[in-house]
Amino acid sequence: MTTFTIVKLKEIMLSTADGAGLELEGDFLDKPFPDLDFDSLAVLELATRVQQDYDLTIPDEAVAELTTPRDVLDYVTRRLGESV
Amino acid sequence: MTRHSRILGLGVYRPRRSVSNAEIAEHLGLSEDWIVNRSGVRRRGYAEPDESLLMMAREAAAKALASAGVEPDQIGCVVVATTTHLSQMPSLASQVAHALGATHAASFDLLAACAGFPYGLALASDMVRAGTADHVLMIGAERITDILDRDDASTAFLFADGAGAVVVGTSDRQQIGPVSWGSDGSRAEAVGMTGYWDPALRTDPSLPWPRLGMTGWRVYRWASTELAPAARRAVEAAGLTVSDIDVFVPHQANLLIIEELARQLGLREDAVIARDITDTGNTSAASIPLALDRLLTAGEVTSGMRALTIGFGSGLVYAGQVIEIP
Repeated sequence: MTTFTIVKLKEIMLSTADGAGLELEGDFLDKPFPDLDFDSLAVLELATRVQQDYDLTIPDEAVAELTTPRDVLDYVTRRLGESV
Repeated sequence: MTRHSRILGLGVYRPRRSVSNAEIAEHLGLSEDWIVNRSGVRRRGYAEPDESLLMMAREAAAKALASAGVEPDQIGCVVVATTTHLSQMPSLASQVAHALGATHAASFDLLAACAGFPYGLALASDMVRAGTADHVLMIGAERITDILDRDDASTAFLFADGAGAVVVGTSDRQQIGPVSWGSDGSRAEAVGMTGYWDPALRTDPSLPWPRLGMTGWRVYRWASTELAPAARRAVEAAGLTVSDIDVFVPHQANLLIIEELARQLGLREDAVIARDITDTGNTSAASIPLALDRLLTAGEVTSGMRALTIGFGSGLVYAGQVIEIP
């Protein structure tokens, strides 16, 4: 079964257009994206990458609910569980 | 013989005052670098009190008429695409027609937000081809600062003011291609006014006035999935392929969208891409003629080149066509 890990999440976040300088250590999972200097276009880029890498379709309404890295981790994990 | 249409002349009006990122970034809690990286905008034009929507539209139109060598009384119809004529009646077009002395012209305004210019150009072209009018004056004019929330960090750095106009006349060959257009009202919340002109506004001063609101990533997501196919349809409808396109003049919404569309379209290496947003901001219905004027003035494009336009905005709506540069 395909899994979505914290390591993979960090890898994608760091590879976004503005992500090179992100500090994703410690308890970053529960920090709101703006506090991580990860703006809404970056969240969209993250969602788009996840769609491509995991063959998912993430609707706008779901993207709008992704406010922390943990939201993304939980959402993708749940969706991957549904598709098994 | 089949009657075709073409753009006979172009004219624009840019506000005198050009506002740098440094003047607005701190107030919005944004860095100048962030604004440039995420929108491409470095400067934008803000109209001053005497630069009314009518004044800017009239000035652009007068230049377009002079460029076309057409007299005001030859104009059969004046169309103004705008979202910022803050009165339901009379139309801005009727006032522009009067100000210019276009005494034989019909006139009306058109609401297609940031797609207003290609929508209006499609109507103008069809009117000319059908024989409804021999000359149509088509104007995109906006004073977005009138509906802008200067404290809104998602819009205030992006939008700006200006006007652009073209005169459309007859031709013996197709110089304005068929329009490729559509709309998706399910995405209305992506960008638009935050409320209606509720009559309660008259009596309750605590109620907020409607202003322009936008969730940028929703617009970007839609634009980066739907618009390149729409633009390709415009190219095919003109009987061309993407490699025939010399110039790409999309609505100047955001440099990231412009670059992404250009990438998806696979334009020729030497195709010219309009990036007027950097110095002009997003001027909604005025952005395409303003961007075209910038390229012509800089000598980057010349008369006879084939340009692909695509406009998109609140609705969400879009329209595009291939035009031959006048």
